[in-house]
Amino acid sequence: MTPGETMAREALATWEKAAGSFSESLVRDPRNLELGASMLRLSLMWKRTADQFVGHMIAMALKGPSSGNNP
Amino acid sequence: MSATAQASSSPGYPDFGMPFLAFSQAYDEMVSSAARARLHFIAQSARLLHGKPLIEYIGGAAHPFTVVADLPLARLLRYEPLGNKRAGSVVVVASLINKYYVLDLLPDISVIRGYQGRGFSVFVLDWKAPGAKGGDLGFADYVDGAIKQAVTHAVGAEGGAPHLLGYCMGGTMAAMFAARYPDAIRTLTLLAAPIDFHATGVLSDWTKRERFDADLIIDVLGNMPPWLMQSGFKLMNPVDMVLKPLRTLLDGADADRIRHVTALEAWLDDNMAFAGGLYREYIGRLYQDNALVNGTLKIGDTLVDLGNITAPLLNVIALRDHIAAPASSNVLQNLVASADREMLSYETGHIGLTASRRTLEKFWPRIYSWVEARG
Repeated sequence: MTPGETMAREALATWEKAAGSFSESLVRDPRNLELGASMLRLSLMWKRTADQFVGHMIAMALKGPSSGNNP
Repeated sequence: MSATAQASSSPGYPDFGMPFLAFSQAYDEMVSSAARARLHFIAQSARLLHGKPLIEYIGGAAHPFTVVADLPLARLLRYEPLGNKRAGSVVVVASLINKYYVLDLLPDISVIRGYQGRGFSVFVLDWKAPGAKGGDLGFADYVDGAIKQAVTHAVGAEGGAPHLLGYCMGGTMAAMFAARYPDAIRTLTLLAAPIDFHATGVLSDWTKRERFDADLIIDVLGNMPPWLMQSGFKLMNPVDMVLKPLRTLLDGADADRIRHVTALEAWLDDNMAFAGGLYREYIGRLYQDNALVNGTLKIGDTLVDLGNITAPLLNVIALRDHIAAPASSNVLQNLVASADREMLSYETGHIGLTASRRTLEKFWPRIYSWVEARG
């Protein structure tokens, strides 16, 4: 192993340890958990609304113009 | 169909849900192919960077098998024993969200090969993606259905009850099966199997009922898609996402290391959706209610009582497991009725338990010997 590789590995190991404990504290922080849960809930509710809208539009398109509009 | 899944399925799911789920499945497969291509690109770049020849393409199971049954929820694969010795059969129940082939990852890193070498026929449930029917599936379909069918098949093929091996959530379901059909198996080996779901570590925190609504996810998405699950698993250790490619580039000179990393990472990105109905039960009844430990989990109309487990039990624990923390698995020792029960632990992680060269060389011989001694 070259000195450059050794240095790179040591730097990575040090960074990994520091960043690992920092990220561990982030993903266990109750405030972050609440934020993540709220974002997930919001995006799911948005998707459900969009699905229902598209489903409704498809249903309308398949139904065609109503007979009341025909001459 | 499970009663719980039936009762909680959403009446408001849009009519075009089935095409959406079919598209989801194709999307999942596309993502895993793209991930495999990306990994090979990194691996080959690392080799070139170190002036070494490229590695071969790696993907899927390492050793040959035959498909012996096409069950509704899984293909049943058979790995033949090696040599003339016949030691009976092992039925393998892997996790539902990852492919089983982490147990047969590379020619020299294969849990299954170890059983074959000791004369066992190995039957593996290779789970199918749940697709549009996922919302109707529950523990009953997997435990009383697929696992029972695999065990029955193994009995028919080899004669005598098979050894049952469950890994991760496959281990949880194998424990449920052993509780419901105590005489159907010769031994029960569990690898990193969560049992006490209030002690699984960070996942217990994340899935608390007050903040995690599994029903909403399934109402909207039909099944739990792998991209959502994987983003959760990756968030457990986000540093890895940056470090892994860097480490691969540094390790480029070591062909075995590069093969291992490529195979493992490709497997990690080769996921399936979690059947919607089962996901509701898994999160709601296990993670949130801890029903397996409390003795309140029902499959069909009957309670799953772990105290009914009488088969010899080997409970294998990874001491650095962040998915099934040791405290979540070792509780089983006090819940079963097996007179012959043993717990083995090793200083490794959840995946290292089955996919590390060191673990296979140093630790797995003890597991194989335990099973062989009870043949």
